[in-house]
Amino acid sequence: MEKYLLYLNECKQKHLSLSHKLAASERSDEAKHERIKANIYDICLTTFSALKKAGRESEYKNRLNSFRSAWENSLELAKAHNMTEKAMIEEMKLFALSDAEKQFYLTEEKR
Amino acid sequence: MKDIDAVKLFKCLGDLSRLNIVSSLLKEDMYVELLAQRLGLTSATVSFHLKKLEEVGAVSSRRDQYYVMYTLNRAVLSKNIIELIGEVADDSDAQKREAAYREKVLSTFFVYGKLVSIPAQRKKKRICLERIAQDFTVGKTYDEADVNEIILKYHEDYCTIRRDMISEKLFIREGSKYTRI
Repeated sequence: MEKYLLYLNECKQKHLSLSHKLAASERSDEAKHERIKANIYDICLTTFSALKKAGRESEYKNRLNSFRSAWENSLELAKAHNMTEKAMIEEMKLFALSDAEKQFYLTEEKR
Repeated sequence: MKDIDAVKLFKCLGDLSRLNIVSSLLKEDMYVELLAQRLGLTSATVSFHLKKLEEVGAVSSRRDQYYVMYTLNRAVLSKNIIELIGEVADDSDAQKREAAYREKVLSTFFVYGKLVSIPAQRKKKRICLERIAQDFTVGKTYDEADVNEIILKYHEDYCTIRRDMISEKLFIREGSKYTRI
């Protein structure tokens, strides 16, 4: 699962780096969006690392599901209240989470 | 145009992607996917920026068959920066500040209903003269003696005050008759 941790860290750094470039070119809203994506990869990275250290890797899938559930609820609320920017942010979070989840399953299959 | 929030407009335009969108729309009206393609952004990002631009009144949208087309509001964007800055100050705030200033001047120069001194500064003097002028009925013509008597209630130098009221166009004088205007 080292490859998985490496993948999460690379994604986090990629989005952080892009965030800095966007901020430097006066595209602050897009920079913020990239930081949000970087944060999602960081959350997955931190969660998986902590569970692996505690010998509880098997709980990782449940953690991902609880993140998904919370953010899907936020998305529904944002759409219901016509808060388009908040809805967009929740969609970004879910997209990054899906990617992290997909990569986890791919890495698990190869074990 | 009082309904433009200049601060919000400037903040909104202080983003390179949004400026690029405005620049594209200067050439022609466009829909989201075309803007995304031209600017190398995702459709979601373009939609996000267009919503921000719509909120400040810089763009508007209309349905055109299958697409939602976006148009620049040239009336908003044609205003020059000086005009926009001139509208930044909130009228109601300015009125409150003015009222507070008047109160301060009146409380400084009127003690127990009497004018303690005639202000040297024109703006302050005008405020004090306006206060005294409230004792006169607008449109009514007074004899000089009556004018003097009313002014004396406030200050002994009725000549100066009477003369200043005329120069401040609070009264017009015809011979020894004074009309409050």
